[in-house]
Formats: sequence, structure tokens, C-alpha cells
Amino acid sequence: MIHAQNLVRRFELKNETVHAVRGVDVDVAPGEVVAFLGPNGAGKSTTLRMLTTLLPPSDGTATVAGFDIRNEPVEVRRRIGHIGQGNGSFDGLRVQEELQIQGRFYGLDRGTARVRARELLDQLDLSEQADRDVARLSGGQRRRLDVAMGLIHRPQLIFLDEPSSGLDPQSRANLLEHIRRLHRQEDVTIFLTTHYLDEADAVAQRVVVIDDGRIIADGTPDQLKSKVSGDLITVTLQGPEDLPTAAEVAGRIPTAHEIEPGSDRVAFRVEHGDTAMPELIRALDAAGLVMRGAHVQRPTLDDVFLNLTGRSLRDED
Amino acid sequence: MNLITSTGSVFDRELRAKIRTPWPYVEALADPLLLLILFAPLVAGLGDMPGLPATDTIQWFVPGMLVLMAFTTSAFIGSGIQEERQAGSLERMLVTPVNRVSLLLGRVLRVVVIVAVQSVVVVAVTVPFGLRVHPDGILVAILQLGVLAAALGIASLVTGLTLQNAYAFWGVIAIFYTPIIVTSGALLPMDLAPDWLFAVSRINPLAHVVEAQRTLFVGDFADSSIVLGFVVALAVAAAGVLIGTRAMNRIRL
Repeated sequence: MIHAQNLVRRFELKNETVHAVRGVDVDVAPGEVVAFLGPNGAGKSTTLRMLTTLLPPSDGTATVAGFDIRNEPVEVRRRIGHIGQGNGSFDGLRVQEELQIQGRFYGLDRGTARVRARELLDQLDLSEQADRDVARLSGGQRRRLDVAMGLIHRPQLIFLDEPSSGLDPQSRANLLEHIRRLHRQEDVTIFLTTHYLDEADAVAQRVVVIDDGRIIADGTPDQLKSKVSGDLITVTLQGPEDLPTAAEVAGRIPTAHEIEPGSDRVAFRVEHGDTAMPELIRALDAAGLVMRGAHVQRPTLDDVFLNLTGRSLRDED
Repeated sequence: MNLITSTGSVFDRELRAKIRTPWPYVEALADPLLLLILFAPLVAGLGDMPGLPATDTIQWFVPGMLVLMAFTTSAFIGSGIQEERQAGSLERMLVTPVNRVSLLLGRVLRVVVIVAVQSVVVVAVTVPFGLRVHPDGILVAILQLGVLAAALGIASLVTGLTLQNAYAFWGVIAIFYTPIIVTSGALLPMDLAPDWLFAVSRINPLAHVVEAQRTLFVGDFADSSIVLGFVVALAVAAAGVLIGTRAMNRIRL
């Protein structure tokens, strides 16, 4: 569905060249949900703008929905939906007007556009707002109208650029649910950019991490997490006197590392925490120690990003 | 999407966006109508002057007001496309297969239609006060006002696209507004002007259209000013479409 090779974008400013994207290769198969994750200024949106024909690449090639972004941009536009960062609708127009005219921009006749608009307003819980001026919509409603406009022509592939930025948590959860349902029911391919880890985790089957214009990791959320830092196991003991023995027992697990004794607990990282846990419990038992609790925590994408770049994604928020 | 259907859809969207609020029409009509009420009596009071009829001021004044009305309706639409660019709706439309030039032409078509309707209104209102209208002349006159509106509209859109920010756009408008109005000869005849100012008026497209309109209202079709008015307006329109097409094909948001 997307096949990009060595996409590069430079911007010439007054006396410097900004390298926004430094050679991105990315392939997305039909039906995938891919999150493009990275801090602000990493090159996510610039890459997305190239793939959606809004910006020609400085170098490299890409085919999107089967057509070349440089030579056949109109064919690409026919087949993709794009939900940008801004407000797709403009004050003064009514919800259904914007939606129907958007349909006509894609070549639908008036009747078809009207039927399709009604269908989408219903799907996205906007039927009651159909005749309202878009200026009077809430942030979440306005965002859902953007999604509806991106779907009016039943695209095979949709791009969402920071879909939930600026939304309150409830509207955000609601929007993500609509995106998930869209993927389940209509089998569209979804490519979204985000700098929220939990968002990538919640909707994407695959996460592509970009930093400073380059892709630095690519895989399922679980792959990324297991590849990078291992799971965190925390064992709570009866008292501090048991700590040295517990640490020694933990150290016998082959992949254990970063072993850190606390006041009454030992924490360490290990590959495949779920399978290491029973082994650990048996070993602690054999050593005559009594446990009060044990806990396995999968690494978060924030751990992943920290590990890859030495910086936390949260700093950017 | 071909150019014609695309332009039709953009026109429809534009018309709907501005049909429910009276302010665009107040903005466009207030200036010319207030000048007609407040300034025309002063012109009448001047009496016999070069380029000015001794009596019958309304016959001289109204055609000029129609040109100013075409100007105030069409010359500011560049700020509208700037606002849509800022908001994100222009970007949304650029990712559709819609013909990009039609995003300009649909907007232009709206002001052409509005200018035609407003012209009929202004003429209908002033005929009872003594305006005489040549039956064929008025049709050609409205056609010419439409061409002028298209020319100014596309020029405004190109300015809005090129300058990008609102301060720059309104700055340019502020610089050009007074020279364009004064040297159009709509308020006072350019026959009164010193040579340098008269020379300036010759490069003002509005001045040529004002002269053509006055001729058309009395139906003097032999007068060359009519053709000149059309040529000047069409030249501006053609240049605007050319630059606008380039701008839309290279637009970066």
C-alpha cells in the first residue's frame, strides 16, 4: 500500500539548510495499522506530507496506493484519505455542506454525496449536528467531521496526522475507538503519526519510530519492547535481611540484568518475564525465602524510545 | 474532476459559506452607496468643471460607483484564502483530486455573480433618482463589471497566496487602496489632475473601466473607451490566472 525508498526532504532557509527527513524507507502492507512515532520535529509530518502529495520530496521515491507520488499525484489523491493537523472544515459552512461538497471534490454526484454524508454522520455520531455551523462544534465533534471528510470516498488508505492532539482525554478515547472500528469493519490501511506512546500502543499493530529524520526502529509494539530493554520483575520480600540472597538467586537467571535491591524488594530486568517468573519463584522457594508479592511489567514505548535515543519522549510534551 | 465541475463545487461552497451572513455585502456596498449619498452632492455642487457635466451628476457618478462596488466586492477575497490556509481547510482540499486552479476560479466566480446582482440592485435603486440607462449598454456594462471583478478577484487571491500572512496582505491593500480609488476618476474627473497624476491614472485598470462604463450607460458604442476597458480588465484577468495557476501548482503549506 505504501512503498517508500530513501525519502529525503530539505528546506532551504535564509542561511541554512534544514534536513527534515534524511532518508526514510517504509513499507506498509494492505490492512496494516502503522503508527509513526517520534518527538516533535522528528520528521513525522514532513514524511506524511510527502506521502500524501502535499510536498514533493527532495530525493527518493514512493508509491502510495499503487501510484507514484511525484508523477501521478492525482491518482494517489483519489485513493487516499487524509486527516490533517488543522481544522479541515471552515467556519460559516454547515456540517453536511462541507461533507457533501467534499464528496463532490472526489467526483461523487450530488445524490451519492448526500447519501454517503448521511451514512458517515451517523457512523461518527454527528447526525444531530448535520445542520450546525461548523464553528459551533466542540473540538471532538470537529475532529470527527475531519475524519468523515477523509472517508467520504471510501479510500483504501487513510493518513492521520496527530489525530488526537488538542483533544480532551474523553474525546481522544472516543476518536481512537472510531479509528479502531474503522479498521475492523472497513479493512482500510491506516497510517498515523503521533507523539503519544499510549496512542501508538492502543491502535497500531506496528510502530515505526523516527528521530531526527531517520527511522530508528520498526516492529510490533511487543517486538520493540522485548527487543530493547526486557521486562521489569519486582519481588517483594519479608524483610531487608533476605535481600542479598534474593539478588543472588535473581542473578542466576541467564538474562537477568540491572538488578537493583530496594528496601524490602528486588527489581531487575529480564527477557520474557512471564516465563522467567515461575522459575524465579521456585528458586526463591528452594533458597528458603518467603515472598509477599511478585510483579512483571512489560516495558512501555517510552522505555523503548529512551533506550534508542537516550532521551525520553515525554520531555517533548 | 475536470476544471468545470470542480469550479462549480468550489463556487457552491463559497456561495453557501457567505449566504447566511450579510456582512460581505455590507462591506462591498457600504462604501459606494455612502459615497453616492454623501459625495455625489458635493460633486454636483462643483458645477461646470473640465470632465464634469454641468448638470446630470448622477449620470456621471453612478457608473464610477459601480466600478468601486466591483472593487470592494472582489479585491479583498485574498484574505479568505489566507484564512482557509491558516485553518487547514485549504490543505484538506489540496489532498482531494479537485483541480487546484478551480479552488481559485470557484471563488472568483462567486464575486462575479455577486457583482452582477449588486449592479442590478444599484442601478434599480438609482433610476428613480434620474439615472438614464441605455438598454443594450447596461447589459454590456454589467458584463464588463463582471470581467473587472474576475480580474481583481484573481489578483487578490494571487496576492493572498503569495504573501501568506494577513498583516502583509492588508498592508498591501492599505498602500494600493487610496491611489486606486483616487486615480480611478470615479470620484472626481482625472481631467482636473496634473500631468503626473493623470499619467498614474493611465496605469490604473479601474480608470479605463470607469470611462468605459460612463460611455456604456449612454450607449455610445462607437467610443473606443469601451474596448479599451475590456482589454485592460481581460489583460489583468489573464495575468492573474497565469500567476495563480503557477502559485497553486507550487503551493506548499
